[in-house]
Amino acid sequence: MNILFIEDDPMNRRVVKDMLDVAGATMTGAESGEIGLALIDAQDFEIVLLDLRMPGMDGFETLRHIRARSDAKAHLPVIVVTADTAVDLRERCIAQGADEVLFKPVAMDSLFDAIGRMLAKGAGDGMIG
Amino acid sequence: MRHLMFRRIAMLFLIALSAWGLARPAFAQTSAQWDVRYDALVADAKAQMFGDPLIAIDRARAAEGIADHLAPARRNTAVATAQWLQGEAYLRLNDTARAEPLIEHALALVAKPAQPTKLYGDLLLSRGGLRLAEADVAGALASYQQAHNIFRDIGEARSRAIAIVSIGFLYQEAGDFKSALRYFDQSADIYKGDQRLLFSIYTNRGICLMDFNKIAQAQTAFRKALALAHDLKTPTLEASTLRNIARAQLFAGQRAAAERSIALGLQAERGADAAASRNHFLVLSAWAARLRGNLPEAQRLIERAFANVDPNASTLDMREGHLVAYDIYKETHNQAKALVHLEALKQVDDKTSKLAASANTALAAARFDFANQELKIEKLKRAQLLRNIEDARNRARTQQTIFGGLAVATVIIVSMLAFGLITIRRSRNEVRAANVDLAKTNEALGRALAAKTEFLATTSHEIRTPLNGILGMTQVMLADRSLEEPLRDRIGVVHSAGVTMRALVDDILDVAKMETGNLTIEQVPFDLKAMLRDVSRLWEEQARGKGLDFVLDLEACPDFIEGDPARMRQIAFNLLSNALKFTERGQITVRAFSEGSALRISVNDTGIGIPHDKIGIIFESFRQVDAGTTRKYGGTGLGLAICQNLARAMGGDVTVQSVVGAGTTFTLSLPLALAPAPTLSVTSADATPDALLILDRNPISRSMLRAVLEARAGVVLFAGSVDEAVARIVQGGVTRVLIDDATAQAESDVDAGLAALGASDAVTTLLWRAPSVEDCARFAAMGIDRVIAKPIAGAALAAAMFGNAVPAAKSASEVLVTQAA
Repeated sequence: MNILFIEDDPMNRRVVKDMLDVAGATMTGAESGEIGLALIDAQDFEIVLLDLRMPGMDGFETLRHIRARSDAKAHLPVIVVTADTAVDLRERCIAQGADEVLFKPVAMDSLFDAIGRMLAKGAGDGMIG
Repeated sequence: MRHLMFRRIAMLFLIALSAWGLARPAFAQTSAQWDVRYDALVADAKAQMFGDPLIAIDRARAAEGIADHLAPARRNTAVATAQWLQGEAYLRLNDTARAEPLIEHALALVAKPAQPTKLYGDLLLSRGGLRLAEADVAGALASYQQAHNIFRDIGEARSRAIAIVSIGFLYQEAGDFKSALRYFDQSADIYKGDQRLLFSIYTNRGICLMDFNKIAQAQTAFRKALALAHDLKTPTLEASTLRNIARAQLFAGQRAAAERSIALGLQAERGADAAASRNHFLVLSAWAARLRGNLPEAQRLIERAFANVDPNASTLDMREGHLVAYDIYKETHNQAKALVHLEALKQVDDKTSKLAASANTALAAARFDFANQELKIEKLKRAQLLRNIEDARNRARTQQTIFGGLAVATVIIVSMLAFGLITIRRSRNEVRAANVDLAKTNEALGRALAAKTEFLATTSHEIRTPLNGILGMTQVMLADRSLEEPLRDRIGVVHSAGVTMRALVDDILDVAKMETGNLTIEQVPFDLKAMLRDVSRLWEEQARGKGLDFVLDLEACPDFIEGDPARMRQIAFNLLSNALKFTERGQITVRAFSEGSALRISVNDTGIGIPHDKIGIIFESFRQVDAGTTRKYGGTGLGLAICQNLARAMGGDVTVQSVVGAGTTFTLSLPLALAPAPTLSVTSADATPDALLILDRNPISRSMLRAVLEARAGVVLFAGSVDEAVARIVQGGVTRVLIDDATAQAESDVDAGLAALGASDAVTTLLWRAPSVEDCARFAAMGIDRVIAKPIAGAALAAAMFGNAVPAAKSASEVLVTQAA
């Protein structure tokens, strides 16, 4: 399983990479929204994890670009991973097309749980195995 | 309170001002004759609004009469404009009964415009004036704010400034002069191009300053207003301003100067027919005569002032008259008359204090929102704010480097956050105390508050990021099964230190949210007993570890209630943490019970107790009983403040009873809202408990399998090894077992493991990557009931295990489903 994590902070990328390693999933890191979009073009991912506050293109804008694609990748499951705690942040992310929002520090259990649910989404179309 | 009378005058002036406007036509000129006539009538109505509202009503009514002849496209707006002008004029004449239907009707005519219009905003301003006249302060505030937003959106700076001044009036009425001054100054910042508006602002500055007993500064403000009134060639305004000056001079004991002002005022007013206004001058003259010691003259003047007025009348307008009359009659020993005026005075004060109290309540709720909007608007202030935020951000960034040693960092960051909060609070107090220039001070206060909130939000964000590293990596390490026990133990300590730190950061952020009113409370049904059991479990172990007894008494506890489970849990968590912290021996008891319409959750300990005189301070932020307590027991001292604030936000409270040396009981009381127990989903008709046990170690596929199968299976259990699975099956209730090949293959003896599971009574399904025919035969011989080839779509797996009760997935035919013989 290949998961893309768009996040400018190298430590956060490393932590999530090691966490996903526990569950046997591989993670590709992108240090900016621009690089993340290029990677989505070039490779196939099952899930996109997305930070909000990044220099240059921020998470919201990156999300808009993903959802504006004309191919099937427009429907990639996107999980926002943020350290922001604004009151209505979850609602705003969902309204802009995110599938799930996780708040940093992210508990490993909730990360796995969210990924599993994303994979199972779509009336059971997710492939097991 | 002393100056309510002229506040009222200034208010009326403002109402008129909004209607008067620039006497330009509201619409594009057309050549049609009716349009010209209509526009002329409206322009005249506006021009007359200030001088003679009766003529304005006459003109506006005539305009409404010919609106039918206008092009249909502008008819509605034309009628609404004419009605608005009539309503405004009636408002100016204090006739709210006539004004209200006109304004409401006009509002209905232009309601919900696709593009907000100036007329709509003007009408909202008028509605605000109506609400205020009816003493509905919350309604007035809402209308003014709506109007303000419309004017802001369509770029009407002048009208916007008027809306803000109107809001300032509300604060003035409520006796919050600092806020009022701030609004007046903001208004002047937004729009300086209108002498009438400036006049209004200077006048009100003066009135506010009088309330602060800054008589000299008030006089300066009134003199500026006077110069403007003179430029405007408006004798009525000159007269009213001279009255204000005279009043200020009388307060300052400058009798001779006051008499000159009164004379000038009367001169300015000559020709105008303002009987009420003349009464005010008579009152002031009587006051001056009394100061001069000429009591017969004073009595003669005050009798003239009340010649056409019922001495029992208790209108706000006559308050000052009653006050002066009372003083004069008291000094002339006319007790009977003195008493009449004293009673009238008391009635007026009762009314106004009621108004001020209700105004205060309404405004307190709305204050922050609006202040925030205002701060956003003003570019100058905003630039400063951004600089502050940037400073805060930079400060926070440098802290990241400190994160070398976790324990040290915890202490530093927490004390820094606490320090930041206290420092800003203290600096705010100092600014307040300085009180040198009130307007500037208030502006700085607003900035400091916004900067503090932003600072806390930013700092919290910056601390969460390194915490993510600490907590994340310790979780990864603890997930390693081969980790040796002593090392696991040490990493566990690091992990729980990180968890504690996160709780502190959350606490501090909560305080910031509460201070800015950004706290949200949910109202959802939940299982109270389960929540309390869950939160108690966390602390029970620690209590026992300390040698304490732990009792959870849920005998009289309601099951399902409506409320905010996360917030209630947070309170229970804090109270328990507190109880444990201060108790060395004995017992901790948690009780939940309903009492009438209240729900009570009490946490009792047998700890050190709280001295009687310290009970008040324990709920304050950053307070513990003494400074030594902090050193001995740790903590930020935020927990109880948060508990109480949260409880109050939920309509309840946290109270405390304590005996030093014997123990303490904290009680959370909340309004009780029972909820029906949710009906549990029953998967089989006979409702026997049947669970699906999944043998899978991978946390992601566990979550995925749960999401795919839970709807069909009902209860889903997990096991990470064959031993664990067998142990769970022995406990009973497991009717189906799903085995993942990767987890099965991790066993030292794969076949023995599969055979152990195959031997159970449960229906066993094995997921296997590309099984051969031989594989299937081998598994069947072990007692495995069904082998399913991986990969398989979720829906197809559910269908294979539970039958095709739901439509088959589109990919079902593409995968190999082998039914074992």
